Amino acid sequence: MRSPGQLKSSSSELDLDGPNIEDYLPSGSSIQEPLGKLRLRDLLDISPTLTEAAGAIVDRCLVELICSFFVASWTGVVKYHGPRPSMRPKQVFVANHTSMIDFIILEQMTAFAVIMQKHPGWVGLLQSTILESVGCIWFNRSEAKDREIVARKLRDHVQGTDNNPLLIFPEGTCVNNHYTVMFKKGAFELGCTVCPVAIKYNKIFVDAFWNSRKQSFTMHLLQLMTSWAVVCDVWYLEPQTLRPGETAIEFAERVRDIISVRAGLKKVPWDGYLKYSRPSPKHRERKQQSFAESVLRRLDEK
Amino acid sequence: MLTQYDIEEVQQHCNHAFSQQEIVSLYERFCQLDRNNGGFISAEEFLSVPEFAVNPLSQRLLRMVDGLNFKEFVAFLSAFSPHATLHQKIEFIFKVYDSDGNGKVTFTDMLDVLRDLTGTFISEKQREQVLTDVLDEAGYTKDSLMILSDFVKILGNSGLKIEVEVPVD
Repeated sequence: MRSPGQLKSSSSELDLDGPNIEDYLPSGSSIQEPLGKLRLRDLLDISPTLTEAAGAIVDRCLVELICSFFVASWTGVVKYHGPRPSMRPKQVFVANHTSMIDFIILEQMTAFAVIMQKHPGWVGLLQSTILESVGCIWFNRSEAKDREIVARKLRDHVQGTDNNPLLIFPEGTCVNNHYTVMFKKGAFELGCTVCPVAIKYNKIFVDAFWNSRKQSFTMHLLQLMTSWAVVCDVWYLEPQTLRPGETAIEFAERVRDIISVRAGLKKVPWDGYLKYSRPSPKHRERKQQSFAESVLRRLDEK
Repeated sequence: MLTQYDIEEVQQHCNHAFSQQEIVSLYERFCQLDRNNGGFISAEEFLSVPEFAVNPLSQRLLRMVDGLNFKEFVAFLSAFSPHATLHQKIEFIFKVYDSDGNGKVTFTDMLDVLRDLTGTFISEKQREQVLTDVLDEAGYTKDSLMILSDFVKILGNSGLKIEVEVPVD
């Protein structure tokens, strides 16, 4: 029986610090694993695979583009839960990400420094003026060397005693508020305590998720400003530290699990940028291999 | 924009497999997928859904679903409704196998689907052997031409579950 080979993630710039997708795929197969002696109906019954395909077609879109900073007056009703961890050095906050208003919502309670993408145009201007005061770390995704510079800045920031606590959105992009995508490990290898924060918007009032392909930012802004109060829940969860023998990726997944469970979000093994490229055939091969192995195994059971 | 009349027409066409709210929800989803607003979802647009693209049966399903307009799209999905009968679900599976649509599923058809599901992890020879053996055990041969009633007989008691929940806001 062939053993699964080591699968490497692609070497594109964006994946350099991204988790290896193969680490996260469920080890079982979606294709039904038959038990006992193999019969014709076991081979003909493709219902689980079909259900998965139909589910994919019917469920909402997972990820969209990087969002932008949103500043406007709006009446928001936000419910905060859980004791907020006391501010200590060597501590970072991580949260799931739906829209830039996540930042505003969290900012209301605590002055956070946040790491975000610098945007061109008037939004960038807004970012510079307003966020400069809380101490922000800028990064530019398109700059190759930027990754190391940012990692260094992050490290410096958390070591410093006077700095505002750092807030990081490890998904790296805005995600529709039904799911979480894989967390990038950067936030989890700073040698700090990680305080997870879960944010869930109540869809009845407003869809805060900005689908930038369908709507320009200005339209999104207007819509948010003229809609009902944003209603959401914010949960501050128990601070976590790296467990002995745990890798940064495992740590990231563990925290993502905590946040997803609390906010009732489904976890998916996709990276936030997947929509730009087709998933590698390795995912499909993994499913095929699992089913093939179970068929062969059952053949031996006579 | 979907009018009440449209919704009712679609509902008729899919034999009331979905509620009106679910049809509205499916319409939103249809429009989301149909990016260039062509009135149908192209193969490319289906493949942009990652979970669909990695599904081993995606190519087969694409053949069935490529270029459908909304009414046909909903009818296609009706097999996945909890209101669909077992017979409808088995019929759907039969159609997945019967790629040339002539109402008969051959050994080759079944071999093709098995290949999609197992990829390179079983040799072609082993695949043929497995299929021949299980067919034999069920009383068929390599040359048997299966029709829908055969599938109903084989899959009828297997506790088949094909269901998808349409998210309704």
